[in-house]
This record gives sequence, structure tokens and C-alpha cells, in this order.
Amino acid sequence: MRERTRIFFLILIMAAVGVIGGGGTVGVLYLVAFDPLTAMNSGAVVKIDIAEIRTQFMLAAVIVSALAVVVNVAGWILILRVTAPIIRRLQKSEKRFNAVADAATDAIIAAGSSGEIVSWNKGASLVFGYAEEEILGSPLTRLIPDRFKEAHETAMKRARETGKTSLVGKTVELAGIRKDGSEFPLELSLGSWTVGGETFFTGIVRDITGRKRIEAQLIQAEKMAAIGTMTAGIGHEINNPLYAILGLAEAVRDENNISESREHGREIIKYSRQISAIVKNLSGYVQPAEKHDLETVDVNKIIAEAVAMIRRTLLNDHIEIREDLAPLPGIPAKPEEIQQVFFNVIRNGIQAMEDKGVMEIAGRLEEGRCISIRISDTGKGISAKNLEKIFDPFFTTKGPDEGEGLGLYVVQKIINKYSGTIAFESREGKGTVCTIKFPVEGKLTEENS
Amino acid sequence: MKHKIMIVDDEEEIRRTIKRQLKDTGYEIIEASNGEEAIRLIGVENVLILDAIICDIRMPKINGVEAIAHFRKEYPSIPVIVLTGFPDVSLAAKFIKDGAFEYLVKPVEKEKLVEVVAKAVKQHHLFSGGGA
Repeated sequence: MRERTRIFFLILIMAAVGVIGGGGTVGVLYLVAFDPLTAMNSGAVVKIDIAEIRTQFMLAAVIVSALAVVVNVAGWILILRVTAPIIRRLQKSEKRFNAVADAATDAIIAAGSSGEIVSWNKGASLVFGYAEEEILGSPLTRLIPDRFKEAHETAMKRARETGKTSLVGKTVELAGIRKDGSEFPLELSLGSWTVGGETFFTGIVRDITGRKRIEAQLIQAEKMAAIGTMTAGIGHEINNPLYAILGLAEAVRDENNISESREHGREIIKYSRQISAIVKNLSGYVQPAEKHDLETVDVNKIIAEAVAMIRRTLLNDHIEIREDLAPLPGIPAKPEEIQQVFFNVIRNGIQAMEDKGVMEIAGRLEEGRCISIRISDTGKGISAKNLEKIFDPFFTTKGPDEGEGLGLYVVQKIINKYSGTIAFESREGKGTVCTIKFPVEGKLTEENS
Repeated sequence: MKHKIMIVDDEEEIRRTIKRQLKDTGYEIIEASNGEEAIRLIGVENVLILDAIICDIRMPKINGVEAIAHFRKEYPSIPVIVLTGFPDVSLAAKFIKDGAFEYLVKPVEKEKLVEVVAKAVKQHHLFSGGGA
């Protein structure tokens, strides 16, 4: 009772509100709580002997500590067993990506939606000549020739606004510009991804200068081979007037009459000019493709020339070639390549008819957007099995001396280059229809539609 | 008896050249401007006295290939000389295989043509038993 009085007074002396610990006069430890009861003008004091509750406190402390250790250990196990492998995998994946990206000879470039370059591999340095540190953060337009910049900006703007770009998922042929200012042809495959609402683009760029050169050589070689198959026709064209000249020269040699000889001389001049015109015409036809600029090509004129060339090889008039060509707008292309397309396709059709038949060549402007040329023949046709392979290089149904099987392969390459299409329909024994389409530039379409 | 030669060519200047080259031989020349006309003419001419045919290949209506095939079938004893602007070896081989007497590519010199035609005429007489 005396002890309790002491505690009471102790609390009063300290005027403490809440719980405090303290020792009694006999060395016993207490916890005391005091709360003033103002309404009663007094206060409540509660006292507990610490010795009475120590065991329970100690037990609780041990349990809480043990739990803390368990939770801690479990946390570390979780981090080590689950998170760490994920981090390792991410690090590995990044390393692998970097290794692949840096091993690639193609340029792998990533850009943000505003067109700033955010990733640049070693291949990109090789292709464009810029080191990573000097190009990161620069706009993509540094890699694009001036004439394409406007189109690029428009496409990027559209991509920002709509989240779509017409090039994603496709492979297209474009042109790039190197650090030294030189321009080169490239092939671009574009992909996109979104992080946190921002769209990024990845482009894989391949320098196709070498491929373009080989393609050009192949196109030229095939063209020469095609012309080669026509030497007989060309020979016929030249040999007839040449024979007339020879006969007239022999007559001059054997003639005593001067006025007769003069007449023969005039005839010789006439036939010589005829040969000269044929050769001139021919050399224009087989001119190599040196020029790089595109021209506006008149497809109707090209077809008429090809038909005229092919007619020379015909031994008779049992093969009829009907031309039904509506006025067509020009297409931007290299004329010699378009010439090659039609020469090959028309010649194939004529050869398929062997001795007789009808070829119809019809040209139309479709909805003002593309020109469509339909070339049909009444020849032997192509089997379904062969139809699948006609564009394969070195596929031919002709004899060993009649071509390498590169004709339609090259034709398709040229047509694809100008974003055109070529399709064949055929029935064995009935004939074949080839439809070639080329897109027309907007301006030309409006003028002509 | 005057030897008779038929010239088949669609180009008048070529027919004139052949006639000029054969002028000194004294052959009688008849002309046709295509295969169809040649086939019609040979039908009305006295075949026995036609000694040789000089025939072009590329001609309208009936071409040389068809006309020569007709001559070889109907009148196998008459030698046919192919005279063409086509310098085509496979075509020449085909004609020789099918019985053409000679395949000449234009331009052919007077002496060569005279020699070939003379040989053809001689062969015709040997086979048909006629005298020159």
C-alpha cells in the first residue's frame, strides 16, 4: 500500500500524462499511466509491475524478431531466385541484341517519333560514315537526300498524328546520303514499337549499291541476249538493201553507158541511206542504260517500237498483231527498261504462237491512277505448274540456244522497281494474257484523266 | 532450148537485182511476188521446162517456207535455191535437210549466183533426163 502511495505521488510530482516507467523504493520496476479527469477535478493512475509482464513482452519480442528475420530471408530469396534471373536475362538479352546489332553489316537505326536518332549500330557507321556519338540525337533527315526530305517529314507527321506509317512492315528501296555527301541506293525495312505512349521506329538499312550494279548488268546482258535472238531479223532488214547495192555496183562495173551508171549510183546512195537509217534505229534501241535520271516515258511509243522490232523476225504474215492503245499518260522511268519489259513480253507471246495466231495489245488508263497494258496471244499457253515458275531466274521451257530463262525475271525486277505489277493468266492450248500495270504520278493522271 | 528460171521475192528491187545478175546467162526469167503467186504460176507454166526456182523466205500471204515445201512435194525434180536476207544457220540447215538445192544469204555476188543457178540447171537436166 505504501508502494502504491509512492507511485501516486511520483506521478503527481512529474505531472506526466501517459505511460512512464520507474522504480519503486524497494527496486521493483513499474509502468505507470496517468490520465487527468478534468470533469471530476482529479486524475486516474494505473500501475503495473513490470516483472509481472516481462515474460510475455520477451516472448512477443522474440516472435516479432523471428518473423522479421523470416520475412527478410524470404525477401532475399525472392530477389535472388526470381528477380535476379530476370535482370540477368534482360542484361543477357541486351548484350545479345547489341552483339547482333553490332555484328550486322546492315545499319540498324532507331528513332523517336519526332525523328531524332536514339540508337545507332556499327553497321550504321559503316553504311553512313557517322560514328555513334556524332549522330545520336540528330534528326533522321541528316541521312536523307534533299529531294526526299519533304516526303519524309510528311510521313513522320502522319505517323505522329495517326500512329501509322505506310512503310512499317514493308521493305522499300530508297536513297540515303553518307557523311561525305555521296548518295547511295538503299533498302529499308521499317518496324515500330511504343513505350509509355511514345512511338519509336527501327529501320534496317542495307546499302544495295553493289546489288543495283549487278542488277543493271543483268538487265543489260539479258537485253543484249534478246537483241541477239533478233539478229536474223535485223540481218534480213539490212541484207536486202545491201543486196540491191551490190547488184547495182556490179552493174556499174559492167556498164559502159555513163548515164546508166549515174542512175545506178543514185540508187546505190538511196539504199545506203536506207541501211544507215536501220542501223541508227537499231543502235538507239540497244543503247546501254548509262543515264540515271528518270524520264517521262510514252508507253505507247515503246510498244509500237517493240512491235516493229519483233515484226522483223516474222517469216510470214500469219501472225497478226493488233494494237488498241488509248492515249496514256507518261510514266516516270528509264525508257530502255520499259522497252525491255514490252519487248520481252511481246516476243514471248509471238514465240508461243509459233506459225500463226493473233496478238492483241490493249492499253487503258484505269481510274486515272495507273496504266494497264493487256497483251494476249493465241499461242500454246503455259501449264499451271510452269505458271508458278515463270518469274524464277533460269527457268525456261525454250531450247538451250533460245535464251537463259532470265527474260521474265528481269521484266519483273524492272516492273517492281517502278511499283508496277505483272500478272499472267493462261490456258494450255488456248493462249496467254499478260497484264502489266504502272502507277501514274498524280500530276500526270489529273492532266490526262 | 532456153532455160527458164522463176524468181520469187516480194521486193521488186531484189527481183530486178537477180535479173540483172543473171542477164548474161540468157535464162528466161519469170517472176512472182509471193509464195501464193509462185504456186499459181508454176501450175500454169510448163513444169518440164522450168529449170530452177530462186525463192525468198519472208513474204506476205504464203511465205518461202510453205511455198518451198509445196514445190518439193509437187515438183521434186525442180531445184530450189533459197535466197534470203536471214543469216540463220539453223534455218539454212532445215532447208537443206528438206531438199533445197542451196541456201544463199543476201547479198550474193553475181558470179556466185550465176554459178549456183548453172549447177541447179545442170542437176535438173540430169535428173529429168533433158538435154541442156
